[in-house]
Amino acid sequence: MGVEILFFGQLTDMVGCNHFVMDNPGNTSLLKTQLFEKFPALEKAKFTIAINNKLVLEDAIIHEDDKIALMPPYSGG
Amino acid sequence: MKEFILRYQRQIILQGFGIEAQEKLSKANVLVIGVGGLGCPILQYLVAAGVGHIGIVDQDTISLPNLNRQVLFGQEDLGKHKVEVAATKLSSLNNLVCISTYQQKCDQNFAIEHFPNYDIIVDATDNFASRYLINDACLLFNKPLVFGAVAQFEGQVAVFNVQKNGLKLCYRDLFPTPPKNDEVMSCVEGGVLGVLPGIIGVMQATEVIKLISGVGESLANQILTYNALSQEIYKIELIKNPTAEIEVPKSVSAFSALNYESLCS
Repeated sequence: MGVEILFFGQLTDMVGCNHFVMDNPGNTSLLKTQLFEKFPALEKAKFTIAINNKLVLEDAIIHEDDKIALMPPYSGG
Repeated sequence: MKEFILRYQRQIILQGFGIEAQEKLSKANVLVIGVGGLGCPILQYLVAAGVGHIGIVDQDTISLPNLNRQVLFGQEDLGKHKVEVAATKLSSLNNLVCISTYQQKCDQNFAIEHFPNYDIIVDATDNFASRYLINDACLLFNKPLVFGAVAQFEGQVAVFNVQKNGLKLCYRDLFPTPPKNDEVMSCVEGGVLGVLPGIIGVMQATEVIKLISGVGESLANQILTYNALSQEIYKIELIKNPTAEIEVPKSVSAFSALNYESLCS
């Protein structure tokens, strides 16, 4: 049970892994609050959120068993 | 004509490709911005595949740390201008392809003057100021944009400004405003595995060929992330972001007036 959080790019360095499972926070705002508490470096990072492989805008509802991806922009070429 | 058929024989005989797709390639005009880790493989494959006219833009010279991934260049090319060396190598690869070189930065004046002359724009740059400028110019001149970017062991590929299922999305729908300097790492700071831009660049070249020839399904309205360490691909479907609409300059004069460098610092 819970939700799976996937991290991409440099976010994996800030979190120390590329995915973990946590209790459903309910929505993306609460998800961010909980993640920022646990990993303060994330608060300064730029990223976008997708739920089940689809981008969401601010304050999207999270359902049990959802897969949530946090994706930062990459600049290199 | 005989040389044309013989040279492209392996792709002409492909089911669903044929001489029609090959002729579309030979009539296409593609602008590749940036001749670095992404630009080198993109150019090699587009030239080999027979895209008729390719423009290449870069102001830089070749340096030693470029050589782990910028496979068009050798040790004897150090200090030379990238576009010049690239054009020489690419011409010897396929003399049926016409190459235009622009030894300069892709700024607003460049985009206004040259984007209208090309069918597809390929972003192979290495900084956000260029990426946002190119995105906005593609919207202004209604040009398909094939985007690629890398960081450390991961890369992103996307096709923007191409209509699919009634939607036409851009980079700003993903990230409406550029990150500040301290919000992301560059390849200079974070490093990049040499093969990674090779893989991402070849994916971009694939999308260019698909858009021109009409074969397959384009990546439009999606972003693909590739991880070299796990060999995993993760695709995300994009949606319209109302903030993007606000941020995009709506006219050539509004576009010219933006200071892209300061937006990203």
